[in-house]
Amino acid sequence: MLDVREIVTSYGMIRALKGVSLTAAPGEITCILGPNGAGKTTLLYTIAGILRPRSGSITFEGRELAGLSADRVVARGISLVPENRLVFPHMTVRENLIAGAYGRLPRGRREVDADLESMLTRFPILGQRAQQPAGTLSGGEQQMLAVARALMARPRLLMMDEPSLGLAPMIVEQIFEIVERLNREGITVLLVEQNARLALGIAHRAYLLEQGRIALSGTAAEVGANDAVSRVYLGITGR
Amino acid sequence: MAEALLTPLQALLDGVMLGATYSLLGLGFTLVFGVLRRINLAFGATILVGIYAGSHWHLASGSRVTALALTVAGAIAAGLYVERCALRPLASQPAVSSMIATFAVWMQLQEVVSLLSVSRTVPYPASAWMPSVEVGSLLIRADGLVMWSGAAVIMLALFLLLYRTRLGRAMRAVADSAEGAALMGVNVRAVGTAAFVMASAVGGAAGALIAGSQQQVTPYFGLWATVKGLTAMVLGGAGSLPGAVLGGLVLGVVETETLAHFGGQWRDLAAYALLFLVVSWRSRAARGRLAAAPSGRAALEDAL
Repeated sequence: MLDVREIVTSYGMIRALKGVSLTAAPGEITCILGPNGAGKTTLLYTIAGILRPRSGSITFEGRELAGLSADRVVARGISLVPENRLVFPHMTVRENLIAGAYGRLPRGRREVDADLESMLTRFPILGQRAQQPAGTLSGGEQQMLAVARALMARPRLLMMDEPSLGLAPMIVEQIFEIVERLNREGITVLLVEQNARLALGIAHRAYLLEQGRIALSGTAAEVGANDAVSRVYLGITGR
Repeated sequence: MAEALLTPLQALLDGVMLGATYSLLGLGFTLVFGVLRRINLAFGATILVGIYAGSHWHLASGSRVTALALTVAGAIAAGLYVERCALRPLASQPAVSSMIATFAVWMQLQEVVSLLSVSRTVPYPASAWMPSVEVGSLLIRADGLVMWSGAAVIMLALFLLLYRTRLGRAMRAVADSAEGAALMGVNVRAVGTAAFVMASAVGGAAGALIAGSQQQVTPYFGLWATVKGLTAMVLGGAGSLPGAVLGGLVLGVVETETLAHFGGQWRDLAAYALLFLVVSWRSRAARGRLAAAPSGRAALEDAL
């Protein structure tokens, strides 16, 4: 479904991604683990069209994606739930959701309205808060809003950047349940997550990104069983 | 007894009518500051260009309506010039760089206007087409009424645009989080240009209302308009649209009340004293938040 081949992305002189390749298979949850500064967010931003790769290719459903602008990428069916959520704090929950369907608005206002209503039913807490500014929501509610906002673009691939960041464990579990449910409904998920235990728990495949390179890849079970991963990311010591 | 009470009331009325145009100037600054995070010091000068264009057109042709349209169009054209020269090339630089660049463009525009104009002071067609009316012992000046109602209509249109249309929502989304908006597929640069054009149009319309009330303009209008607009924006909390409206009204009322009670020489002093108090109080509140908040930058952005 998504094929990333030898992607190089730089910030000025600094190469953040030094030839990254990975695949997200349709219907699966693929997770990317790695320390801070490994290039995880850079990778997602490159796929999303916010950053331009210096070289390499990104194909989605067989068509080239690299070099497209962000609005084109969204239109192709890829949405990103960004790190720190980046909801629009002064806009209402309803307006945030409509913003998620920004590219669809000129053509299908009625469809967007229908999706909006179903989203408010699907996430009842957002339904209750529909007229509130998003800035008044709790962290967990904002994360739900960020997911729902991304879904408003009707993506076939949902990318999520650190959805557990700064949330209480119970809320994190709720968010991960939502991710699993969406995946069961057929949405392919590419997940970047610090919480390796949780991520490997729901993922099918996993990649370990270190210093801009893929250091390890395999099924979630294989990656989880790796010595280095279990020591550094799962916190298991002394076997 | 009644006489003594009416003077403040008359000043209040005059202040609200004058302040409505300050609100427009404040909205122009707020649009650009909110969406682009930049302060355009040349804002007053772009309006000046529009007013001079309108004035000369009126001198040559005698048409008031075309002069009005040309004032707005001239302000938009000058605004686009400012954006090209001072904002777009410096988009990735710190906000201070482009603020300094807008100052340079301001001087440039002011000089060009002075050089090309037939005289230093130019006349502008009067906006009032009816006599002033007296209600009881209150005098409602016709030009003031035109300023107030013109400003009200423009504000209504602006708020409808910002809260009811796709472009307006995109602007507010960019103002809230440019990165988040880009991820939704919003073309942040195009929305920024649109905000700049909109601010220039609002500025041009405000300029036409003010010049129509004063009926003559000097090249110092640029400085005057920039100072009034910036003050209105800062009084209202820098970044808040309703705040800019309120800030402009407060500024207008403070000016006219000071004028009525203490005389014209105190008018600007009172306005700047108010600005000083608000800024020092706000920065103290910001420092308090900086100490408490985990992220200093977020708190600072909040405070601004």
